[in-house]
Amino acid sequence: MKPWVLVLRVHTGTRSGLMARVGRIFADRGISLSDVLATARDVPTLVVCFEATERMRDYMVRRLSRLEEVEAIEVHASDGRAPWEHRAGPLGE
Amino acid sequence: MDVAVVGASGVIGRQIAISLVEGGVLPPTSRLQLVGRSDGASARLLPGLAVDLSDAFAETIPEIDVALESEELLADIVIVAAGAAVPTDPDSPRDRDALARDNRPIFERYARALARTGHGEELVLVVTNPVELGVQIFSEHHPRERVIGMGAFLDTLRFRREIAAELGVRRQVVHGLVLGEHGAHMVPCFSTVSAFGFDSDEGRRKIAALRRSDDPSPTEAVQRAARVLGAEGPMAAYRLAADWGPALRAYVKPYITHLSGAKTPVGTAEIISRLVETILGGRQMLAAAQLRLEGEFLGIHGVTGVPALLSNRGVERVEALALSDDEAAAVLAAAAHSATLIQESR
Repeated sequence: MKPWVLVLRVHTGTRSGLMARVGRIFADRGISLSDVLATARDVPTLVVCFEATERMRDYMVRRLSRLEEVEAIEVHASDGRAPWEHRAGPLGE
Repeated sequence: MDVAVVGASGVIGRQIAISLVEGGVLPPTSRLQLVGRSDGASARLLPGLAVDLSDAFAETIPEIDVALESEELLADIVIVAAGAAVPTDPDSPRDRDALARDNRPIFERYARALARTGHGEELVLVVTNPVELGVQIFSEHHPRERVIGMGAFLDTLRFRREIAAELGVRRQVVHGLVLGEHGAHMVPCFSTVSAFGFDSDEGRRKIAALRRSDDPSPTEAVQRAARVLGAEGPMAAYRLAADWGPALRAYVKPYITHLSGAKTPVGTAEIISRLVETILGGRQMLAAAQLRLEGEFLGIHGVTGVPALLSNRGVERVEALALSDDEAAAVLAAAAHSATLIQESR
């Protein structure tokens, strides 16, 4: 098990409950989120931090990609930065 | 949890999808993936099915996701219903060997895709026939305790229904298992049959009397039923089957239903749906299922139908069951027959 950070660029359309759906995807597989950052400002972004095997991380990326609100996902190895620091960069700027 | 129906545009797969949604088996927070092929009819049918389901069950429907490439297969429970089926024309029968050759590439494609893209803890429920071949191939790419063939599960419930009809009770009070092959080598095990209200000496005698020694062989019975069906129609074929014992009826009547053109989507889907509901509910179920064994039952190494305790982790354990000598011999013969079928399909 390793710590991971996923940075999701999303579009917040008319459908409510995106946070619940994302949370459920992790919860159904017994994965706790250690940090979460969500913002609809500028580029709507969701940052989630969790521990999982690499195989499960890959699965989660594929699974989250199937959500219609998710436009892109970046996978970061956890390096001790706070979740908002992961938002900066290609997705946030 | 997420459920995928592979082959969701087929008669059986489509009905499974409908049953899962209609029965409220999948909560709104879950996801149902309808899996088909981009180069097949499903490319047109599945988006339409997704919209139709949404129209019908908008209040409670889970997320619906259409996947037209095997690499997109993504679910915690994968129901495999894709592939060819026995033709409904009794004059152009397709034997199980031919079915195995036709469906092997389909099993291979999705088993490999799951191994590449899955998280490794998926539960695979094989509905497509020959179910023993499907279990063998998926268990070559996936933990074998998480690959379950549904044939014996279906046969068992059909057997119980026929027993219940004879005893004049509802199916839920009847116990009993069908082991072995999902086909002509199925093994209805009367040694496992009991029923609520029939635990007296007289009751047990009534149950024992249901075992018939004068029935034709399953293969001969199917041929006779098909002839009558072709000449006189399905009602005459069902009347012919009514003269046989419950064990043989459990095998022949689904054939008649299939050959009649009605096929068996409703019964199959409902039964699969109940198993999924049990699994999603975190409960366990003692059932008969085709599993790949490594000596856990009668020393069998191969795929056949055996009693097992099932849960969301797959097979918790294969149940030790004291069968009669003839039943044990029949299960061993069924396993050997399936091994030959699997080998010859390569």
